[in-house]
Amino acid sequence: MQPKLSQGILYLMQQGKYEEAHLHATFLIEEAKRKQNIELEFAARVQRMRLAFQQHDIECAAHDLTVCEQLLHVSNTVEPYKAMFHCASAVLHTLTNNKALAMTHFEMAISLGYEHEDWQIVSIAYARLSMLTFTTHGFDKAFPYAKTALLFAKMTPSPLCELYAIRARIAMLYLLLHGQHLEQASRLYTTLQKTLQPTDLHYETLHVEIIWLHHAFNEKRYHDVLKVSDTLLQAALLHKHSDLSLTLFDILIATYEQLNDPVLIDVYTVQRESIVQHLYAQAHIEPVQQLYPMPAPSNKEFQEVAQKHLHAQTEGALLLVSIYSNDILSTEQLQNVKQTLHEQFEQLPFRVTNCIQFEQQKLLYLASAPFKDAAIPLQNAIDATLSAHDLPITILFGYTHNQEHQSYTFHECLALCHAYLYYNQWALEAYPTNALT
Amino acid sequence: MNEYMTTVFDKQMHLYLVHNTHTHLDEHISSCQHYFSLLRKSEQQHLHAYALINDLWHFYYYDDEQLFFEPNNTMYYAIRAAILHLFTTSDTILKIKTWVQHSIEFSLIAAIDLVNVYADLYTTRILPAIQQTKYATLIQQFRGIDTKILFSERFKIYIEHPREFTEMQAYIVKLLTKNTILHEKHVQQTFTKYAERMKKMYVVKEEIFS
Repeated sequence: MQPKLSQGILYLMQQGKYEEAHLHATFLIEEAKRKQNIELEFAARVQRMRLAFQQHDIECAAHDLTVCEQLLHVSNTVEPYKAMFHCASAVLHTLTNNKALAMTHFEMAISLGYEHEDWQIVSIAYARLSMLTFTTHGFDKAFPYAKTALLFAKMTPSPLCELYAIRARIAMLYLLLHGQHLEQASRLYTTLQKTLQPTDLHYETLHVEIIWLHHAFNEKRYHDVLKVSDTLLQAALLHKHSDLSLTLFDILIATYEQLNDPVLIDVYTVQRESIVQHLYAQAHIEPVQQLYPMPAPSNKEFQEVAQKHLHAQTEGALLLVSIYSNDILSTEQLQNVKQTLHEQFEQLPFRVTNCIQFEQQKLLYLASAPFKDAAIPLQNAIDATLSAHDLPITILFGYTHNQEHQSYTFHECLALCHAYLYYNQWALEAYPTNALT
Repeated sequence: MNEYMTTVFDKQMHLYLVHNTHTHLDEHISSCQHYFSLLRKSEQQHLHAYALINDLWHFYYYDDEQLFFEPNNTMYYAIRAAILHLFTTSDTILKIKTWVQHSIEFSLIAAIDLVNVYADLYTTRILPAIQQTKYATLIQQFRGIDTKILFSERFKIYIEHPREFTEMQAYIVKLLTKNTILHEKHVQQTFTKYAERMKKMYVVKEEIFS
């Protein structure tokens, strides 16, 4: 029953009846709340969120996102909507200038959207990601993202496919102009104007004009910028298009900086800041990270530190410790064992640092001694840990010294550590009293 | 640059060798970076998923006459070799090859999507069976690691062959073959859906970019 009800909203959206769809979604949400039907409320909120994004009502989308995240704690039938969540979250992070997090969320949205053949999400995520990529990697890297956005826009069923194609082309226009491909940009600008003229797509029309205005600024035509910027700003603020308003404020502030007008710079900076603060409060919603864990940034940081540590010119080693148990250990038991291991390693005659947890029962360290000096002290530390805990566990380690083992990258050393673990385990089974070292 | 794909090339984890070509796919990884986001999130940090993408990319891109199997790697990566055999002998997949062949980007998209297809089949049909066996930990252990290292000369002083590992490979290959036969209808339906998706993408791509 519920999918049919929320699909009704989708049908209205596909017919371009956005206001009716919004009313229908709001009615469903109220009904669901009254009947305490979490799944229905969830489905209706997600559809309203999609609608809000369609109409660029970021505030409404952010509100529904927050509520949906709370509902997620009590319902696990939400798989198809995850892409929408990540896209919504990414847009909010983009607006608050948290680019790295926004990019990660857009990538999640693409993967999940593709999994569920939600081409609209894939297209919009690629389009927005293209503009972010431009700021970090330049035109050549960014343009293929915009082209891919167009590809997926065209996969979207009609009539929405034209709308998403326009959005992908707007991303292309942005990239072409900022990448100084002016002739192509000019052609695309004219085509977009012609396409948009007979429609009532005010966000898209405004977006195109603002991109073109930015171009005028780049060409130092400051008086041309000021001629139209006020009208555009009023329109953006009126329709609560926060992202477009922010871009306009940026252009205006930069223009008045060039014209040396500190009073107006202050006025626009204050107005801009109030929008940023409001969005910032909406964007930082912690449960997203808790519910769908991202690749831990600490792992990446560790990899970078480890890579330097294992570089050919320095002497370094990687130590992988694994705790094996036939019984399931409680989190507390495992934690205590790890703690004792840390304490034992601190007393070693060589440095063992930068520990990270690797998978469930593995610890990865950086060490600074050749294997011939490290092996016996390490085994003693492990034996001391085992005798401190009366548990049915085995602790094995793999150790790779960069120069001794001629492995100079993190991945090479890690692979070799795993191989040593594998053969140590085999040796322990084959010769229980004399493990391979 | 996708570091996993680069590792696959650097470590020579390929199952195919290519003869008579001026096109080297590794030179295109950087310009195709944006397509890797299409891969299932669960596979995005899984080295062997990228190795499979690489093999399928080669399969789709090159003419059959240009491709030869790398015999040692076929032994080291027996599971991947079995997947490749199962997939590349399917009529549906062979039909897709005719659309995507010689297109660097489209053959990569088709390869990534086919790895997604495999990942879904693996999660629903294979993984539950593996989790009941003694091999579960071993598989987990080598998810992100190039397993060729186990066959390295340095270990031959202890033992000629990583026996448990090769037994695990044989077990999974059998499981794959058995499940493909057992769930033939489901696998075929999945392939058909994949083919429809590729066809649609192919038509759109031709329409907008040619």
